[in-house]
Amino acid sequence: MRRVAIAAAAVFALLEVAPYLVMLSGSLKTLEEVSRVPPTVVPESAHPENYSEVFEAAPMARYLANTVIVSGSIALAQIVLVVLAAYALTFMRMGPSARAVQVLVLLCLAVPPQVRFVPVYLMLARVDLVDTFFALVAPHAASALGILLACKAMRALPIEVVEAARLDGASELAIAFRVVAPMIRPTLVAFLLFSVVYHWNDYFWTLVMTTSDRVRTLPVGVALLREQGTGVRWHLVMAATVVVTAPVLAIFALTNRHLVRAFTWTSPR
Amino acid sequence: MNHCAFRHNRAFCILLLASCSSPAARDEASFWYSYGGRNREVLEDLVGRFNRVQAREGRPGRIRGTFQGDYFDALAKLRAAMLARRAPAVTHVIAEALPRLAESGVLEDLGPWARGPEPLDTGDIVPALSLSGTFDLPGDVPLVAIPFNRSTPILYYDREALQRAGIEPPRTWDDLRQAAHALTVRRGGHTERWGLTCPLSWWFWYAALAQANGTLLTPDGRAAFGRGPGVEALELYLGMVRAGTMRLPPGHDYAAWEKAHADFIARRAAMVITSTAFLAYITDNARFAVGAAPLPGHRRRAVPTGGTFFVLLADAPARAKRTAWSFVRWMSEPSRTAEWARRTGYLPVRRSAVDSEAMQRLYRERPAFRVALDQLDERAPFPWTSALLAIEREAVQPALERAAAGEVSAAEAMAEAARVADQRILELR
Amino acid sequence: MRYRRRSPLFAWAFLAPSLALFAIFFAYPLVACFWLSLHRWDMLADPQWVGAANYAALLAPGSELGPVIGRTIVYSAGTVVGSVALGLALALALHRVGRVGHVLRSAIFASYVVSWVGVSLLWSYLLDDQLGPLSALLEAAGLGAPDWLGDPDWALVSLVGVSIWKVVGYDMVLYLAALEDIPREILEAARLDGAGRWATFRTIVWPLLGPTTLFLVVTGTLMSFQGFDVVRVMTGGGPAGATQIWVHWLYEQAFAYFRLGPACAAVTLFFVPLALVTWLGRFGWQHA
Repeated sequence: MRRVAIAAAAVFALLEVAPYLVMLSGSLKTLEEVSRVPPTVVPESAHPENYSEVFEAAPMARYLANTVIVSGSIALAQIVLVVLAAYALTFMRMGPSARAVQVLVLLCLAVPPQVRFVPVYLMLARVDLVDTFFALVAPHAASALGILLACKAMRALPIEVVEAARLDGASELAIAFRVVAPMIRPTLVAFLLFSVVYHWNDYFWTLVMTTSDRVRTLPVGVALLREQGTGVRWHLVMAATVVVTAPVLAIFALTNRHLVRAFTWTSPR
Repeated sequence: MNHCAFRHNRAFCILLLASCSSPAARDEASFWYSYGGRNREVLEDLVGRFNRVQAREGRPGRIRGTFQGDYFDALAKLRAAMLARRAPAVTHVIAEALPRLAESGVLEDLGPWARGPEPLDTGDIVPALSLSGTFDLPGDVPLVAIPFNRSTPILYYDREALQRAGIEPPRTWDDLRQAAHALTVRRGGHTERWGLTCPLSWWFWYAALAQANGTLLTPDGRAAFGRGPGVEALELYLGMVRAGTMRLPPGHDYAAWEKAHADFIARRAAMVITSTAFLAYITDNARFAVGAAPLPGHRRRAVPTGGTFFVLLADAPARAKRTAWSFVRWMSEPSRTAEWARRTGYLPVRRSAVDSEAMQRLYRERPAFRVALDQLDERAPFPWTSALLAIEREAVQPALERAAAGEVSAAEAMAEAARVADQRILELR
Repeated sequence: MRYRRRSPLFAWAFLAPSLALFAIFFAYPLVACFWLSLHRWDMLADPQWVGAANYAALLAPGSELGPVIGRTIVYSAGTVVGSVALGLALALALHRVGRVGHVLRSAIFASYVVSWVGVSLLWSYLLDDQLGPLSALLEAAGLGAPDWLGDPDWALVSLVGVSIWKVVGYDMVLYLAALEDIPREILEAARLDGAGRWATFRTIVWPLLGPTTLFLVVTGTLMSFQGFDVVRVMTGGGPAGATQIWVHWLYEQAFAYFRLGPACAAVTLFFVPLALVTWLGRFGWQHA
């Protein structure tokens, strides 16, 4: 019974992995071969030049750089602002307003991007900031989720640590970043990983806020490759799909447990 | 893939780096375009050549092309970008979008440019493809658009299949139905070859509407297609689908076009109705002799024209507009429009290009390229109404898709479409 | 020094950047959205005050919003129920399985971190009705294959399938963690009492997994109500609107048809239920 269950799970795992193998194989085929029915499993001959071709057919290098810039900046900004805010809410005296702020933060959690994109676009349009990195980074720079997670982790710390640092005359900024932040490092690392991967993958917001290749990121650029009318060049689309998925899969392979934890951090445990 | 595209990209990167400070950046004009595959490659090649010509002649302006997806995605981006002052200096838009854009004053009046120091002989533009030939144009509309990639729908057919069945290319709706029937091959419950395939979309419906002597609007500007010819036009296709002689390509928008082309090229369909724009693509990829014929007529013969026009955005900086105009003018030169036509299947937009030795030779050697041109005599213009695009995208197209899915009858679909259209007409009045 | 440091001003200074960003990018948009919902505007002409007309049109019988919401609920329910059930089954199968289990878990979870665009492009190819390997596979096995994305009856089902495929790893991992937390002694005791596998699961394990299930249902519902990428890339909302779900509809209203008023009215109508679900999630979280 147990064996059967494990075998069934193994079959399902194969179903999860197989499409990626098809993608990899397809990215090395010719257009003729990738369109062939029935399909071949292993390419008759490998065509790694598909990758250079896709980098020529679209400014993929630019997209890649933009994606790194955007997801990196968001993560950095979030970490800094999250530590500041959570520290203030946990260790600084604010009286009853702390509770109000927490409720406010929670409320922000309930406002997904799909609710905000129209007015934010119009607002950024008015100040000439559409199609800039600002439009991709700033609206995500403050993270309600991050603040909640960091607060939770900070509350678990002994208050004496902070008190002692204060007695030593350390500034509040120094305590926040040199004393408290290192102590909640697992939380921050998990949140950082989550944030990088989440924004690396983001499509909706970038699609709305960008109009040129100067700031477009990989998901938007790659989705544009599926041109229509004269036949999808599937071998190139597959190569581009490898380019957009491989970095995330690599991060996953390297940080396996951490990433799983990062993504399940918000769970009830 | 091709070397030119790569060089162009590198040039573009260098330009981008330089653009921070150099004064040349202010002469740069961005150009948004929207094609797939082969036609995109041809266009990118032309853009690269224009930039090299500019460099050779020591002129400062360059064109920076940005791909924006299909026509509708590009149009959506354009309208959103106008508000954000991120619109390009020049782009190309489908005819149906022009009335609303022109009316709201965002398009540059090109009349003065055409008469200016870099003149464009508008009298040489093929009349049927010009603004006034594409629309029933009121007198007071300025010259806001120069035709670029213009087309008509045509009927492609598998020569051998028609010969074997002993039939001629259909000339009427009845012929078409019979031909589709005769060309369909079934084995068991499986259709091995359909007689006809055609994406059920606005353009082909509009053609049939005109062929049935219908109009889009009543003289007082209300939707006129809710019954009668509007329904008949849809029924033309649905009838053949029900009879099992026409394959309705699945998918939304251009995904369906794509399938229709693929079915024809793979000989799963003996005839396809689609744009002349795919002539080069289809004849190059089909491993059989491809014939082309004008669309069959009904009460009369009629086709709409399609494709896009170049427009300049009025809000663009003056120097960028100058480069943009040079580009439009360069692209419209008779030899260029002839080359564009030869390499894609679109119509040459200049009379002198049509009459040129090169085009005439092409027409003799490959008569299929002539079909769309000859059809221009039977063109059905669009009404110049600000709701035109909304009627196409929000009223008619969804109705066609719902009827195609069998959710509603043709009559119900068109009645609903007319209701939505009237609502949009009212909103935009 | 010490006094000044205790001043709440310090705390507010630390909070200021976050609060300012929240005000600009969260609070203001909601107000602006409501304001816009009372207008008719296509980004070309000047906005025109129409009062509650947009709401009236959306709520009128026969409005296009009804079917959109219906499809969204179908997509959402299908994805959530499918991934929760499958995730639980996988977790039960792989619970306390050593090395092999770890490899299988990783393989299944991987898709969760991959972008929706990547997954959608990949599956567009796999499900293509002409050259898609999946249809070829089914036909080789002597089974017919539907036109996954082209048939209006199948398209939404296909999207649900792809979505479950992508997210199920998340449900599995959370269930695995929850299973770890169940003390062995309780299960031992149940075994000694002579309870069968099914009875143990039903009376002990399932209730103990309750908070996890609630959490997964809530987050899954929220996530699937925000579904967009998969529709945009794979079907564009078609065929015949069969996959036109809420966010994609919203996007098209706003940025394809430029009907800003109705789009914002729909957002306003929907913000309340969305916020409710989120609060429900918070409730489940706190109870754990």
